[in-house]
Amino acid sequence: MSTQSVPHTFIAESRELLRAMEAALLTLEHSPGEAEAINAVFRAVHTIKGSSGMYGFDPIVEFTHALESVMVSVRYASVKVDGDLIALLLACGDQVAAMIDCLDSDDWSARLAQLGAASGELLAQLECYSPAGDADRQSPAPGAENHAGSEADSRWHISVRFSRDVLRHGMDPLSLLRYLSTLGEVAGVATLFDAMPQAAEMDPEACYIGLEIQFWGQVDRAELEAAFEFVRDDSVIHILGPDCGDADYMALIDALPEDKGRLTEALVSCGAITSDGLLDRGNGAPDPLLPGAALTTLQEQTPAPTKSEPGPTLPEAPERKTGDGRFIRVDAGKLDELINLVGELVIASASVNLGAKRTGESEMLEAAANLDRLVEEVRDGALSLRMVPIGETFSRFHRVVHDLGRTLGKDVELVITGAETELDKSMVEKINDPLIHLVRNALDHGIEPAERRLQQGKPPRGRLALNAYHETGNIVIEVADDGAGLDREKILRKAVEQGMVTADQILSDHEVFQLVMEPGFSTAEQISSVSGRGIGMDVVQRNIEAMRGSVSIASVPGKGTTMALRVPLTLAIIDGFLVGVGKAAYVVPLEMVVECMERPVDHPRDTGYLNLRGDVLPLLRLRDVFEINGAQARRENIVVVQCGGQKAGLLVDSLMGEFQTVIKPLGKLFERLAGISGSTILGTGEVALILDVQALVQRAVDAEPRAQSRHIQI
Amino acid sequence: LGISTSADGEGIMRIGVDGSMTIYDAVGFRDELLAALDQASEFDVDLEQVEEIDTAGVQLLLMAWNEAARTGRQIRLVAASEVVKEVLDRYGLWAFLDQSNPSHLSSQ
Repeated sequence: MSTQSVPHTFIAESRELLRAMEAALLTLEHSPGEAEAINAVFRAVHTIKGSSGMYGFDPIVEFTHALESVMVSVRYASVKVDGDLIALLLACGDQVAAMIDCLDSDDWSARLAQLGAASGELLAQLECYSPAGDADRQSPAPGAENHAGSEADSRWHISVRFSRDVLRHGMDPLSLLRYLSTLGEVAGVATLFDAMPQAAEMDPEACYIGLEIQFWGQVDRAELEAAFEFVRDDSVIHILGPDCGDADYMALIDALPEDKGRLTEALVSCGAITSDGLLDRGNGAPDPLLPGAALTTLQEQTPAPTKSEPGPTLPEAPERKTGDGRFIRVDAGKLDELINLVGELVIASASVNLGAKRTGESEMLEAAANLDRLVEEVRDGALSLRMVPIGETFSRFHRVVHDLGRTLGKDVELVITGAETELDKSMVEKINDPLIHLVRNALDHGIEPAERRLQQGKPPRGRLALNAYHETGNIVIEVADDGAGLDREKILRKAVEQGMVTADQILSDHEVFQLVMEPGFSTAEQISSVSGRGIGMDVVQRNIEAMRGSVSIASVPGKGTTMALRVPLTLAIIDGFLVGVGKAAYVVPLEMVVECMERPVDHPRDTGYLNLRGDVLPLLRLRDVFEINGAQARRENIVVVQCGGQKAGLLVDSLMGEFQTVIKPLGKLFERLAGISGSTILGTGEVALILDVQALVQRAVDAEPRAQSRHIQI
Repeated sequence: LGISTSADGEGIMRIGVDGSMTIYDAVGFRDELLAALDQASEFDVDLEQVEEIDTAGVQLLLMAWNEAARTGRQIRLVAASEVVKEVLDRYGLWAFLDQSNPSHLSSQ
């Protein structure tokens, strides 16, 4: 394997599998017996092992092999799932993930080797669970008589011809035998390998063996069938129950591929029938371990076809869910490139439109309008390619909550709603860190310890809810806990101590809660390893604002806190509304525009408010905000915008209509510019600034009391 | 996985296996085993040092025994590790692999 060409699909698929495994493990935490989850973990480990083997990543193969063995034991119930095992398996999953991460770089083999020590430690812990570790306990007590004679046990005969591929698929018939011995007593086994060709033609990785098993146990058919679930796809399995008589065994011999004499011998040797061909009804199943009891002859035989014959065969395995074929994997970089191009296309189309308007030719105008519409559709299509449901991000928090809960000694349930809500992939990555921060805060400080919860009449188990929904071009992501809620008085006291506010200021709940997001603010009496509420909340706020979003906090004492992140669905392109102030053009995101109107003639020029059909809204003069000089326009217009439930009016000179806008990020220098979130290029080639409505509305709201008082003074 | 062969004065070749006899090494193991079988007419197989064995490994033993029988050679199992014993127990294969030997090897 050359160092350069580690296949990316392998890496991506493995990561996906690891995520599935993690989710399944967390399911197991609460319902330890859930077969589907156990199988999911097994499948993930097994597939990674298989593919790693193909590419020759030996350390991964070795590690996943051990993991797989443990999962087999779990699968066959010889190992009980408990919190410790899940924690260990989660750690192992992380280790595999770390190994997979190594493959991303060119010197992967060296980096893999560095992980060896950590792997070794985990392997040692896994050893305690693996079947080899307790082989002694499990190895069959061949004195089957005492068990076989027990009244309640029933006698079964299981005949299996494995498909050639079972070993390659990672199932070893041995594990079936081990499992059976946990269900009851494997009284006798005869292994048939007549299907094995001569040495030269033999494929060492194919499975040629068949088993005749005499089994005593208090089981029913379904349990036995379930034991063979993993191999039943192509294998031929016959199960003869306690009610089967001589005739059934004779029919079985007829149905099986091997020579009759040979089969009779095998059935005799495993204790199913006596040598005269009759059902062995004696209690004493012959000891399979004594020489002579097993097969002694060895003749060359033409392997009979292993086609399934009539007989009590297991039902076909349910069809696998198809759906893989409906998706293709695309490099995210290619998508970004496409969206960039579409952005340029949008700008070009705007300029075509402008040109067409100048010519005034109706044909040209029509063509341009058509182009415009198509470009819009292409844009939407391209953007939707990059839209992903937020559920995947959310489901990672199962792990975070699980781990943190363990660290903090709190039992917390994570409830996820709105997982199907979509947002741009580039946003998903940016939203992750702030979310983790909020979740940590909620767990550490929001949710109280179980004793205190009980005292307050709450269920001992805390509840953390993640929710997402769309709201006017934004996605709102809520992190809600049912904990103690924010302590308004304490926050206020601290804020006064730290000189953020003065004691005589009258603040709304909302304003008080917003204080926790000021830099350096913390009310935590003890700063724990997990978080000190406040430390980092300003970072959250800054990160969210950097993507044109906002954070709001609602809290009810004793009932809990809800933090809501509001961010745009995409950073790439928006539908804008173009307004003019003086010679400059500004873009307001269209979804925030509620309505437009001319400034009423009777409206005084200098007021900071607007009476809109009885509603008083703060009014912001863009001319003042951006300090634009030049002659005041004779007629002014008002654009009413809404953001996060708060309306405000923007006073502008002219309204220039809707405009598809590609957002070009501002350079580093202008990143923190208040009121501006980006720039765009108009069809004329001029630059227009995109307004940060969120910040402007906030500014208008803040300015309101002052403006009003000024107005009153006048 | 390692396989070593040595011949004693009486023409019996001893085949010693150590490490793991699993599907991961199955192809190489088969080739080595067959190469060894070409070199003598009587063999003692020593599995004392085998740390891991799975069904693929068991099959290769069966193959070697089959091959020996087909070509008129003698092959015996002279030693086995606990792991090997457990697996051969489960498959009920002692009698076949141990035909000419007393059952001192069986884990019983």
